[in-house]
Amino acid sequence: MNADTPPLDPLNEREAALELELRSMAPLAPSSSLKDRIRQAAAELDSAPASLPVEPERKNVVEVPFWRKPGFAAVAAAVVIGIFATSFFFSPDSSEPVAVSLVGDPEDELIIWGNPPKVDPSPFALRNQVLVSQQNDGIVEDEHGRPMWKIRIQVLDRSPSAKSAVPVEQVVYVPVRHD
Amino acid sequence: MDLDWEQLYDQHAKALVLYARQWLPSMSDAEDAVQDAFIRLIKSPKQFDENPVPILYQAVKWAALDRIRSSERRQKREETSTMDHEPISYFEDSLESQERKEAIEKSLQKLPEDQREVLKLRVWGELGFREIGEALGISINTAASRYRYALKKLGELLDAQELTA
Repeated sequence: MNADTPPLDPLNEREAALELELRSMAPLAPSSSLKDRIRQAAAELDSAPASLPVEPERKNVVEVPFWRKPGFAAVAAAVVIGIFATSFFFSPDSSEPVAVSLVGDPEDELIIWGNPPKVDPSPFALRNQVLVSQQNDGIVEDEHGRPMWKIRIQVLDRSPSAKSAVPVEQVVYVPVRHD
Repeated sequence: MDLDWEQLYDQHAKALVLYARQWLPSMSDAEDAVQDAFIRLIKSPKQFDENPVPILYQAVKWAALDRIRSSERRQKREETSTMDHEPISYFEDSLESQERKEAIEKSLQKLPEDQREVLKLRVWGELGFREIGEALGISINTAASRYRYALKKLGELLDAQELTA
């Protein structure tokens, strides 16, 4: 038996005929420009890093793009510091996810888990943002000499108020767990 | 992995757009969702390791739902849903029986959403039940039984339409 097909009664004659009929119907083709649009958008994304903001040397903070709404930096920094404190005092299991708010909105979160950490790309978590890439730059020390994972992510903002059509790079620091 | 997105596009574009139209009836909105999914694939090929097809369909669904959420935020969506009221053309015109094609399109819109998406993935996406399970986060048995229910229900809906015609 085909491993892809669970044990089921065979289709009856009517169902089989309907299945054949459906298969014979061709879905409408997308517009001929769609492939070119994808190619062009991909090319724009490829050229984006050259125009990305330079990463400051500060540690233990979430670096935010300048176009984000006011007050975000304080909220995000507070969240990261909160995560750091939680990790420090409770030493959670490495499989337990950590949420980092990127825009100060509880609905817009990156979920980070693992050791080393990974960012969950789920758009359900990202809402109006698309995670286009993530890169783990290894462990750095914060100003107190404590080890932190440094994660570089690129996020494309698709919210109505987005001011950039290219992904913006952000750096997130997550405490190294003491597992 | 060296991912050939253009080949994937050529093989699946029609079915992906049809799949996206489950949530975004407008052709152009559905195309935008497909574009979003491909951009994601191109920029993060590692997420699409091994068999990228189920994850590609999953990405299209997410992109479509994401777009619905965005438009809901901007404006409470024009009206509840166009799906139940407006005739929507999903398929190329049929020279043999335009009426039958329209009846199938109408019946498809009336299928329960979870059955309709499995049907689309299986028939037009040509995904196996295992791949459908991966794309939707359901078991292979659930995928297979939803498909059976979808075929059965679709047959009943078509019968009902014939009776009222």
